[in-house]
This record gives sequence, C-alpha cells and structure tokens, in this order.
Amino acid sequence: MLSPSYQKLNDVLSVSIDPKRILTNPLQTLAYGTDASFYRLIPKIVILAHNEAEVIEIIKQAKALDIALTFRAAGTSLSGQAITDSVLVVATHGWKNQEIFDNNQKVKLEPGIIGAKANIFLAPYGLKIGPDPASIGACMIGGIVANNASGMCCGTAQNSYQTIADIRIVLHDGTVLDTADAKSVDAFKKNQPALIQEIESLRDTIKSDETLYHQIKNKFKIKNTTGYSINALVDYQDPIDIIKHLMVGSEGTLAFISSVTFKTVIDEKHKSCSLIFFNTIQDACNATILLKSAPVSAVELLDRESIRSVENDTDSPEYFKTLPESACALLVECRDNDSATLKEKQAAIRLQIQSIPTYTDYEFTSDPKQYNFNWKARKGLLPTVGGLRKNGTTVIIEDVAFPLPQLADACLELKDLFKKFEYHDAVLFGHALEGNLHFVFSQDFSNQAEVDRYEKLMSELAILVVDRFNGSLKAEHGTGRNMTPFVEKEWGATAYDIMKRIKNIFDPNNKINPDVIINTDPKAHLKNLKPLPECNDIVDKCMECGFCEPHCVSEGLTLSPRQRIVIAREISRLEETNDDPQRLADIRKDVTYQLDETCATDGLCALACPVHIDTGKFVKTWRAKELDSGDKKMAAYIGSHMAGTTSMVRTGLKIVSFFHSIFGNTIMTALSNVSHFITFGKVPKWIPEMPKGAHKINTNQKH
Amino acid sequence: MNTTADLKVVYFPSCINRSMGKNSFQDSDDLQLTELTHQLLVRAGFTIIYPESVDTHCCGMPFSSKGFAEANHEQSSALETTLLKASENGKYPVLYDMSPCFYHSKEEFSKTLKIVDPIEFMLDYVMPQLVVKNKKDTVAVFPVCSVKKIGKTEQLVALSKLCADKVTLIDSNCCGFAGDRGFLIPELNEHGLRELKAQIPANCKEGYSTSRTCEIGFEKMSGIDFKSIFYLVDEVTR
Repeated sequence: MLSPSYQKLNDVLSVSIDPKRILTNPLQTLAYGTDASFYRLIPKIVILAHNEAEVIEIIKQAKALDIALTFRAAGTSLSGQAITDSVLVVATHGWKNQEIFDNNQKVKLEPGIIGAKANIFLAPYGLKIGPDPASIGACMIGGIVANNASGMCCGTAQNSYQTIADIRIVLHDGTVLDTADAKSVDAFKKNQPALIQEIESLRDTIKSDETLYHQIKNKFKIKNTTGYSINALVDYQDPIDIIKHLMVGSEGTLAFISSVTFKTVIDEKHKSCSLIFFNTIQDACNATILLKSAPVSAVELLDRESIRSVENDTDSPEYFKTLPESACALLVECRDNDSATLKEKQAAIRLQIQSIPTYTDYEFTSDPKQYNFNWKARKGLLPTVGGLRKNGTTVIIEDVAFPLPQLADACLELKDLFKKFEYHDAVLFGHALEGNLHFVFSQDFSNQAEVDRYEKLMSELAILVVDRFNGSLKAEHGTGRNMTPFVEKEWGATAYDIMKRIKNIFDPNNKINPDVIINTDPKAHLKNLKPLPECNDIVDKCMECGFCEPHCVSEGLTLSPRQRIVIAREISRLEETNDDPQRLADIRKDVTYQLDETCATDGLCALACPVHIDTGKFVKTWRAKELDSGDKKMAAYIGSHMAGTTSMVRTGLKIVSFFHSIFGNTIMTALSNVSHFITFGKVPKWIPEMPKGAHKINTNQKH
Repeated sequence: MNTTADLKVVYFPSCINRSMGKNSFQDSDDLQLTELTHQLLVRAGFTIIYPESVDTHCCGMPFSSKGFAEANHEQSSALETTLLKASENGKYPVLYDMSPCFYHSKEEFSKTLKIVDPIEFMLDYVMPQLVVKNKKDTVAVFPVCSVKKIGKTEQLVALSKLCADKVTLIDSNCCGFAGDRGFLIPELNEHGLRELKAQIPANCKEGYSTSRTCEIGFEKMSGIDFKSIFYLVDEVTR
C-alpha cells in the first residue's frame, strides 16, 4: 500500500503516462531499484519514463507533493548513487536518439544509449566518444556524464568534463535549459536571474580566495569524482558554461539530463601494447612518471597478485609463475592512425624509460592473440576476485587517486593497509598514468564484525589518501553514498561549503536524488547494505553489475538476467528468514511470468557476464523445480515417442494450414487466441507465419 | 562436379525441420528444407548417410529448455549412439541443419563425434564443391544465439557474401522466439524484434538464418521471406 502522497502521485501521473510504465508491485520495484552498488533501497514507485515531456510532468507533480526523485539509466554505478526509497525514474527505453553533426565534430546523444553503441554509431567515421569506462558495454550516456565516468585511456583529457560540448537539462521546477539553443539560454537567463547570480557569486568567491582557487586547480590535475566538479567554477567564466560542466559528475543530484552533445574524438586505427615487468613497484611507478611525457595512450599497473590471476592461462609465459613477490607490471598501450608513426611512438616509449631496469625484455605487439592476452590479464582481475569470493559476500572496488610523484609510496602503504585489516584476496591495479588505483576485494556485510572491519578500513583509507598524499578518495566511480561522509574530509570546510551551496542552488528543497554527494550522516556509507544471500550455485557469484542487461531479450519486457537473480535472491532470503510472508507471497504472484516464462534461456547473458553466469541455465533449473511428476512422465513419453510426436506436429500443422487457407488470418487468430487463453497459455497461439507441415523424409532416396 | 565416393556425410535433420514445413512465401513446388538439403548435398558430390530410424531422434534441447533434464539426457545419449554408428565411429562428419541443435549436442556429447554446424558445413564442405552462378543483390542474415555462442557470426557473413553482393547483418539479442516461446508468449518475440524492420533495407526481400523456429518470428516481425541459409546456397549455385 502506498502512503497517500505517493498514491496521489501515482494517480495523477497515470493520466499522462501509460500506467503499465508506473510500477508499484514489490517484484518490479525491487528489480528496478537494484543497481551495481552494494547498497539497497527499494523505491516505492518506479517510473519508466520515455521522453522529456514525461520527465517534466513527473518533476512538477513530485515537487507539488514534496516527493523525492532519483534518476537512473543503466544502473551500473558502484557507489550507491542511483538508488532510492522514494521514486525512481528510469530513462533507458525511449532515450536512444543519436545525431552526428558539425562536420562529424559533435555527437548528440540521449541518456539511454549504451556507451559502446554510441561508439558503434561513430566507428564508420573513425571516431568515438571520449569517456571509456570499463563498463562501456552496459553503462549509458546519462550515467557516464552524471558520474564523469572514465577508464583506461581517456584520463583527464578526454573525460565527459573535457569533451562535453552542450547539455540539455530539466531542473527541479521543470525548467528546461538547452545550452546549444540560444533561445533556451536567453529564456533561462531571463527567468532564472537568481540562479545565474548565485553561480556568478560562487565563481567570484573562489577567484578571490587564492588558496581555494589553487586547491581546486591542483586537485583536478588527477582524476577526481569526490563531490561536485567545482573546477567548473575556476575553468569557466560564463555561467552557462559553468552550469554545463557542473552537471558532469553531479550524479543526478542537480538536474535531469535529457541529452548530451560530446565533441567526438579520434579512434586510432593501429594499436599495440606491451606488458612490461619491473622488479619493484617503485621501479614501475618511476617508469610511469617518465611515461607521462611519452606518446602513450594508456599505462595500467598490475601488482604481483594481479598477475597471479592469469598465470595458469594457457597463453601465459612460464615466468609468470616464478616472478618475485616484489614484481610489478605496467601494461603500456600505444595507438596511432598511421602504422609507421606507431612504430616511432613505440621507440620513443622505450627510450623514455631506458634508465629503469626491467625484469625481462619487452616487445610491443599488435598481434591480436598476444595483444588480447595482455589486456585479458588486466581485464580479468575483477572477475577473478568476483568468481573466487565466498558466497554471500560482495565485491568492492576502491577507486583512489594520488599525485603521480607519490604513486609508489601510496601503492606500498595501501598494500600494507589492506594487509593490516586482513583483506588477503585484495588485488591492486589501476590507471597508473592518472595516479588512479583500484583495490578489488571481497567483503562480507552479513555480520556486524565484518561491517566494523570495513568501517575501520574506510576511515584509515581516508587518512592515508587525504592526509598522507592529498589524493582523491573517488577518482572515477562517483561519490554516491559510499564516499559522501568523507567529502568534507577530502576537500576541507571551505570547498565543501561551496558544494553545499551548489546543491542548494539547483535543489533548494533537497528532493533531487537526496543523500548522494551531500549527506550529513557520518555513517551513510555503512547503512542500507545490500544482502546477497545464497540461492543457487549457478547464480551465487553474481555481482549484480548489470553487464548482462543489454544482451537480454526480455530486458524491458519483464526482467533482465540481473533482475531475475535479484528476485531469486530475495525469495531465498524471505524463505530463509520468514520475516515477511506477505511480501514473499506478493513477489511469488508475478514470478512465473516475470522470471520464468519470459526467459528465452538463450544464454547470451553468459557471454557478457564477468563471471560467466548463464541465467538461462538457472531458469531451466527453476522450471525443473516447478514441474510435477506428471509433467516428467509426459516428457519421458514424448521423448520415447519422438516419431509419433513429429508426425503429430506434421499432421497438426497441415490441418492448421488447411483451415488457414479457408478461413484467412483474422478468424484463425481469433480462434487460436481463445484456445490459448482457455488452456492457460499451453496451446500454441496461432500466428499467420506458422509453418505448413513437413513431408516425412524418405531416407531411401536415390543419390 | 566432384562425385568421389569418399565425400560422405551423415545428415541429421532436426525434429523441427522434420515436422515444420515451408513458410508462407514459398510456392507449392518449392522443396521443404530436408529435401532441399538432400539435393544440395548430392549436387555437391556428397553421399548421404541417414541415421537409423531418424524419426525417433531429437537432440534433447526442447526437453532441456523446459526443465526436463532426464528426458533431455535420454534423447541426447540415444542420438549420440545412433550418430556414432551412422558415422562409423566418427569417420564421417555429421551435418546438423539447425545451429541450436548443433550447439546443444556439442554441449551434451561426450565422445569425439565430428558434428558440424550448418554454417561451417556450407562454407568449408559445400561451397568448395560448387560454383556461384547467380549472386543475389541483397540479403539479410541473422546469427541466432547458438551461432554467437560458438563464435561463427563472421563465418555466417563470409558465407552470405559469397552468395550476395550486399549483406545486412541483423543486430539483435535473442529474437525471443526461443523454440516454442514465440507461440506461447508472442510478446517476447515482438519485444525482441521491435527494431528489426528498421534494419532491413527497402529492397531486401529475403532473409536467412540457421534455425527454423527463429525464422518463423523473423518472418512475422519483418514481413519478408525468412528461411534457412541452405536455400540461399542452393539458389545461387544452381
């Protein structure tokens, strides 16, 4: 039952939005309310919005009822920025328009386009979008921009902040600003003078505070997604430019993003890479500092534990197994549109780091097999930890960044910190060139002692990153709920105050994705932790990352593989604890159609899954569980009478086809719909394309 | 044409193709797939061995999909035994005329039978024996899920390009027909192929794939003739 104000919102929105896209049942609200983070909040209402007019209506009606809204696209973010216990607005289906213009220099994209699909669209022009998060096969433009998400190659030079050309947003009161449209900008300036004035005042405050100004300039030399992109206030003068760049990394807390225009970047044709081993982390980090001024496209660091995860691969060289404990690898990527220049670049890289001894000789390779193996070593790290973890635990990816000169010391101290708190499965890797390090480890949240251990780790991590090295607590994964208690710690009171003012300018009532980025609760990162109960061997390793979703035929109709697993886990939990029989019954009511019947069991989800879960296989076991012995006897009978069955189908189809030729399509559809209905869906619905019956094969034909 | 006696193949027509006949675009004098395959193989110089009592066999997938694990294993192992016999313990390749059945058997079979999927068989066994005489202008092709899972999408395109000047590779997840699901829950197929029509060029009237049931859904959702790629190979080499 919805409370009166939510019921009212539901009622009023049902007038202008298809009620089928306004979800309130416990199965769907849980399924859509789940994202890739380790936090869990269940929305009261989920609205699958299809266009901007609907979003404006939702924003206006929710504002009138003082109801909080959270916007979401793919739900692949990791820090708890896209979850809510209020109203979740999902902008995926219906948000797929794309347009390339200005001599291919710009591309306009709607928030529901998957990053990789945008790149497929741009590939014929030899172009791509700048940001390249590792989740690019599943994450969507809305989230990429809202999180300033980045990855291995884009660094701080080609992220959303640097490559955004224009943006179209809807503010908390329903106002639309399209920075590409002069009329929209003029109207905005005229109608929102207070907002413009506030932005200008913030800008001038920072300009007049030399310490703050330099702090901001300095901190954004490396990747940083802790708090708002307040570099917008020092990098730009014009308030519209400032707003545009403040939206990047705002995590849906300032406005809804209707579309984004990126400056396209060149997708170099020729690529090569080399996996270079150093004797120590210090050597690898010193090489990275030198590589900063070399023609490299990416420099990825992999620690000894990371290499261990691929040492048993058939393509691995033997020496991987005997590397010294202190060893460290750099995966160096080199790209160019011209193959001769690529060779020159490789030589320049070699020259640049020749002063630093390597553990073995190294070569650059463009051979697809070797090239892919090198990258497999890097990309396989998350699945390795994810696949080996104990059931019921979650996978955490810390995402910190350090000024490059301190990278070696930071690496060693980080490793000590994880040892101190006994995170023995932790592997360290990252985008070394940007000072960005990821620690991946498994974490149990099912008991207080484990939550306490995580709390201690986090508070010491904050001291290490901020006090020791002046780094970023979140480099590219967003603040979310995970780092919101530490934003002030990282930035200090003055900068944090600027951020609070930004939130207040755009969202004075704190109803647009509240509690994300700005949150007064010092323990927000330890609350609403998501349970991951065991439910079935096939799916227990699921990290709920969402990489499967773009590959699922039923996604958008009923559930995606991730959502199926979420529901199966919740049913297991409710059965185990028996703490809410009514909720269990409500979820069970819809589960056959949503989870079982609409799964095609095609298994394409497994191809995209980092831990290779075939949710189709899981659904088959679900079906087996639902079958009674009578069904099984029938199957055995059909199986042992295959000849009779095929003959029956042959004859049946011939009869159907005969009647079709007499009655035509309309009557046949009506007739079969009736039989489909009265037999609870077991009799095949007739469709005009149903084949004719085949002739029996004559296996004695002359050759 | 090469008619040497060592070009032998065991042809296992799937239960779907043994029971489901032609589509609504095909004429009364067109051959159904099993007959066409037979003629095509003969024309390419193959001697065909049919598995004993072929009508009693099925790869087991329809049972597996519905959760009947035991019935699946019985069907699958009976088929394996029969194919071993027909192929003289793996001496001759076994041709499957549907990719999903091939994939299922590949997952299930334990012994070293040389089973071959429809795309590889056409590309590596049949095409070298035939000459393309009248290439088509434009065709659409769809790699069904099992083709994607065995990594044969590129080979499907390569085969199609031998047969047509312009090949449109349909970009889609599972089409949602999923065996009989397209008959039972048609909305899944309609959802899965909601972007199909937009992908097919206006002058393209023929589509090809390697799964009869998927083709039913493609015909329904595209409005064009969708059938086995064996028809394409046959037509352009005749």
